[in-house]
Amino acid sequence: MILLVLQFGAIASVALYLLRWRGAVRRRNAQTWDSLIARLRPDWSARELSDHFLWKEGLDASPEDAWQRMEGPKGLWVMYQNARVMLEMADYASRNSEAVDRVLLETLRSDAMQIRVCVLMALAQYGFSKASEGVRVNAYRAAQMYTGMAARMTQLLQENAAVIVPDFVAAM
Amino acid sequence: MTLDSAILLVGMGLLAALLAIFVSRRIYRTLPVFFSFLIWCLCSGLVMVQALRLPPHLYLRFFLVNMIGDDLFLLAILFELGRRILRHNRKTQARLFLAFLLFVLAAVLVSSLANWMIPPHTTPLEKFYMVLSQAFAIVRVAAILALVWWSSLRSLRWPNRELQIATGLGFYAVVALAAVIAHTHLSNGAKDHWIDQIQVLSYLGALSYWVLYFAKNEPKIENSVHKQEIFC
Repeated sequence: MILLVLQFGAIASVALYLLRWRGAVRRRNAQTWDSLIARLRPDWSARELSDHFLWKEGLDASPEDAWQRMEGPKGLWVMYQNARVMLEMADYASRNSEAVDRVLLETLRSDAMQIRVCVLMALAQYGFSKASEGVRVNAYRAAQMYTGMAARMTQLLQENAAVIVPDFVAAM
Repeated sequence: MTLDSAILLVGMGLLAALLAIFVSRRIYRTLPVFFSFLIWCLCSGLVMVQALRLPPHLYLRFFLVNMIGDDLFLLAILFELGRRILRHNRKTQARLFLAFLLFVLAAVLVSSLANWMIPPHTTPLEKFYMVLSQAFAIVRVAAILALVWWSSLRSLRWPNRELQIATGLGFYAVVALAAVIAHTHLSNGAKDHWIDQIQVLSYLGALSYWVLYFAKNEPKIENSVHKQEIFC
């Protein structure tokens, strides 16, 4: 009887997975630049960390300063979510244009993955040891990669969808 | 009229409606394999109505042929969907080896879900039917999962029409897998006919879903218009 319950549980999981996948595909089909940009979180901006944010990679702050300016876990979480949205923007661009630079796309994918891993590690460490040295270093690394990703995203938009750039800059 | 014949008649009514929609909207041009599948289902349904009068062992032979035809068509439809998705995304490389690897992985996972047993006191033909239905249940779900993973890994966008067809097929495949597992656990084995009826009802559910979807005018994909405005 337990085996039967387990088997039906596994089938229910497969059904649930397919349902969630379908929902994701429908959302993706309905995507537009406006809907993507509206999902960027404007409540914290990495401009606090760099004067050249969106145009050049790098930070104008030490790890300690960066941690203060990113308001701790709040800034980290915004970076996590915005990295995901920027990745969706890159995918959207690649689906809709042949001219998108494939190397740039792959770099953006890699950026998004590294930022999210780094943020999750920093948040997990923060949960155990608050703002320790390790947390600040991980947050600094995530912020540095985030500025790089944002600069590459601006470059991609300038090359393929220039009319969107002002909205993107305003949202970030 | 028995429940089985009522289910068959309702199924044929839905199939006829779906075929009429496909012909009137010329959808058969873009989905020829799926259209052929609908014709196959209608023809095999007509034969099965006549076969209901036959003794059970003879009826089972007809049912086996019907089941094999259905499942071969299902695989061909999934292949057609994959081709349509590639065209929609303007991609030329299918990466069939990746799709095959994903299918093998999915088949291993799905087959490990079940403790595949053949209930005792079954005739050789019933045993053959059960083995075949178990194998097809695994292949159906694995093929759908492989298509889903393949399109996700390549970040492919699904056209709405193809997504609706995959939804119906996925629903039917999952219910059929559950039905097969239920069969293997119940002492009456193949004689638990109500399980088969639930499986057929899920097929009717998929057909009704397609009729409702295709009867409506399909919404245009906003992206295609939007992208022309942006990417130029």
